Amino acid sequence: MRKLALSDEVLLSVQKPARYLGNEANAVYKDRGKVDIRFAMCFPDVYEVGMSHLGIQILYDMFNRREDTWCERVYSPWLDLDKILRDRKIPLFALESQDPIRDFDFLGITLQFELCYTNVLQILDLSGIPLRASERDESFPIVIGGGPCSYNPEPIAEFFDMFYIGEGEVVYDQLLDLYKAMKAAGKSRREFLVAAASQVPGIYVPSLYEVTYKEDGTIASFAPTVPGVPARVVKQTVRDLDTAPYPLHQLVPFIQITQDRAVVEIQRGCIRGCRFCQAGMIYRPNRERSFERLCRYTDALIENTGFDNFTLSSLSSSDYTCIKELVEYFVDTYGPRGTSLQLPSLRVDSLSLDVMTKLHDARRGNLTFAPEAGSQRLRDVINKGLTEEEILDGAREAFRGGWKKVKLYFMLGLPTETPEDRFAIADLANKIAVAYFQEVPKEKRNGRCDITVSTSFFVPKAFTPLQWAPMYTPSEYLSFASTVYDGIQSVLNRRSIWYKYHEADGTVLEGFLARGDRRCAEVILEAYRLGAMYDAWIETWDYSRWLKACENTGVDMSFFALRERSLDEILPWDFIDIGVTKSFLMREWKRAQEAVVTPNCREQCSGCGAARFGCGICKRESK
Amino acid sequence: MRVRVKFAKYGPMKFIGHLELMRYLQSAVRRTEIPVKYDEGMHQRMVMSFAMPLGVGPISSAEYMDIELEAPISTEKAMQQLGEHMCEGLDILDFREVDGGKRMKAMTIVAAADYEVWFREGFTPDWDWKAGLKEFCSRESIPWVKETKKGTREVDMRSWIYDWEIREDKVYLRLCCSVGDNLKPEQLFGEMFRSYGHELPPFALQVHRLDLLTADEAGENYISLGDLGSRIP
Repeated sequence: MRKLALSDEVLLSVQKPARYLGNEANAVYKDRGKVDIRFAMCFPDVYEVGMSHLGIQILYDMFNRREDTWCERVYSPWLDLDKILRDRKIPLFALESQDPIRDFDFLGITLQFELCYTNVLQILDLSGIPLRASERDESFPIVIGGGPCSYNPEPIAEFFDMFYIGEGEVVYDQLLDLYKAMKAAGKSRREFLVAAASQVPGIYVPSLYEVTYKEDGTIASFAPTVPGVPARVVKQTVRDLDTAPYPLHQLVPFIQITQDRAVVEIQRGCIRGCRFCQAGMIYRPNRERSFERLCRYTDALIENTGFDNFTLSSLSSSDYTCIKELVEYFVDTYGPRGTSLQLPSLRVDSLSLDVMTKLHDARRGNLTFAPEAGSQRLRDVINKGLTEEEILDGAREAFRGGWKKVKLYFMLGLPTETPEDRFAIADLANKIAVAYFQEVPKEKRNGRCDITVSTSFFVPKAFTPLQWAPMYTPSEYLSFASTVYDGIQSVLNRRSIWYKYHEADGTVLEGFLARGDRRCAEVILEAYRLGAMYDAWIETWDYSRWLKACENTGVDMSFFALRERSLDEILPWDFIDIGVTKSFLMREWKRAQEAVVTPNCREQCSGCGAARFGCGICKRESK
Repeated sequence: MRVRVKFAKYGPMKFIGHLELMRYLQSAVRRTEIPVKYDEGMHQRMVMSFAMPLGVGPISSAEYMDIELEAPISTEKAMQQLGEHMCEGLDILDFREVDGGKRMKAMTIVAAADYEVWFREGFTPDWDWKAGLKEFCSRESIPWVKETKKGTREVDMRSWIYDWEIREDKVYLRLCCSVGDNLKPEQLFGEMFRSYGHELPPFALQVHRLDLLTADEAGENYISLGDLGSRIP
């Protein structure tokens, strides 16, 4: 039997000890003496959040198919265990072997959102790994980052030995082969880093690049310092999802996790081109898995996991060509067994409602619309190809179908936004309430309809057409929200409408970390020293630590967070080549300011540059 | 057809609570071909009940779970399939057809539990606890205010101690264990410590449940739940 890293007493005194045991169904165990590479895969948040992430399951499965590699998992210990590990100097360990992370060959950290950066430091710190890559000697694991935040890795570049830019399925084998060969040949850490950066596409080694700055604080130059290391790092893209590895033995946790179900990824990328959406740009081109393959995957997952709950994973899932057939297959095959299916991000139209009616039978939960902006003009600015008529038609149809709870998502602080656009949010919510009263006869009504308006504040992200846009101060954001609130209070159906808005401080911090450069690392380190951790959690969130960290380090948060960038500025992430060109993004930024809509990839190719990968929708459309 | 599955729970599984264990076993059963029955409700749930939930901390050599089958499956085949899907710390020990009567569920008939209890490393008391235990269990009656979900209840703890024996550094106990009346080893030790002016520290005891028992018709002898029913050919 495995020896656990924690004593009975520790495990019995923390909340949810199952977070730290491993042992879940489909966890992989190997003989540590018979593998060459030990890989610790980390999601720097609590177990329930980290376990819900598909990307880790894909890599976990893929790495463990290699006989020479044992990939294990590690998540952020929750605050109770964090304290115990520090007090008793117990090193952080991997769930499967319960061995210290420090003894691994690799520590891979997936970066899904900016507010996890202090948790990255927590993981390194608890593992006993120096926080700065430059202070790590041969004995420490290679710390490698990946995931959406690695598309601007610069604020955390100092903490990582390397980043993998792109989709994990493509060059990880090449990287691990190289590591194994160089380790066997007795090569040094530095030699491996240089070889990986020069030979393996998509690998970015921050220590091999030098940045210089202009007097105004913007970047003057960004260039490799070692011959052979490429000036531009090309994002890695899976050409054919059908032949890419997919985990059919997904982990089944003991405790309930955030997304407690088996996951079937139906497509990657999105045809829509919403201008605020990073995923919509970095995962271009849109690629689908075939219907036949998905049916096979579903069957295998049911058999291997015993889950009674499934979710399809995708951006804008109603755009998947065979969505209806897939849902029908699922409902016909597994419905009688009581297995349920969740669909993410559906557009509310008749097709989706038809699909949802099949899924839910009599139950009518929340129906979610994401118009993102209140007025048509502003929706055109962000290229959210959704008209008011489409929204109202969808709502009417939903009300006729028996739904009465509607959730509406909007963003505030978008470029060109005016108070009129904010009032338009209240107006749209009111029109939906009117549609309810018109559509549902009095005798069939069961009280009022229930409309929840939620607003978050827009954060410009790297590699989006809005990457140059300004942000606002927390107090300005709150005044935007109060305009919406006043608007809702002034409409006829105000009693049917609820309003919720997102934290403003956290938004500004997110903006700072999303568009920052290498000089932000000092702030992150200082905030961590001041106690910042789990910044995405209300329990622990404290903006004052970050303000203090900026003060202590002399870094001006507004320079990175709030400033509108000029088109000729070198952006910290310009060295990454995602396929989509900067000139396309500039064109889109210009069209945004003119409120001109760009057609989606299925309607017309707009020449974004992703066609260079020669796959997915780009291939289909060019034929 | 009612089937009683006997299993052991130990090692890392001792930190897994009852609800999580239930989730685990449900998904494990779904990974096999065992034709298990679901209830008719809107959320179809597997018909599954347990003799007596084991909390987080104790280990057990004999837990019992009742499920209903739509069609028979042999004990051998079911055990082999379930066995393939068990994680470290769960062992399937038996799979028997039992009386399907309404009042014959394991949770209804369970009456007593056998335990072995010892102090975890570093928690052995520095006073003569064995003498204390001997004296405590030899008392005529032990008035005890039991805390229940609904409030408190005054009971005689002594009447719930059916048997006890000190075996070197471990203590064997047979205690009352049923839906209505239930005495846990930690509660017995807690009261014993208190009556000598000590406090039982948290996590001091390791409890090992040896078996769960039911009373025979005369109510005089106890039979292991595992001895009921028969293996399915």
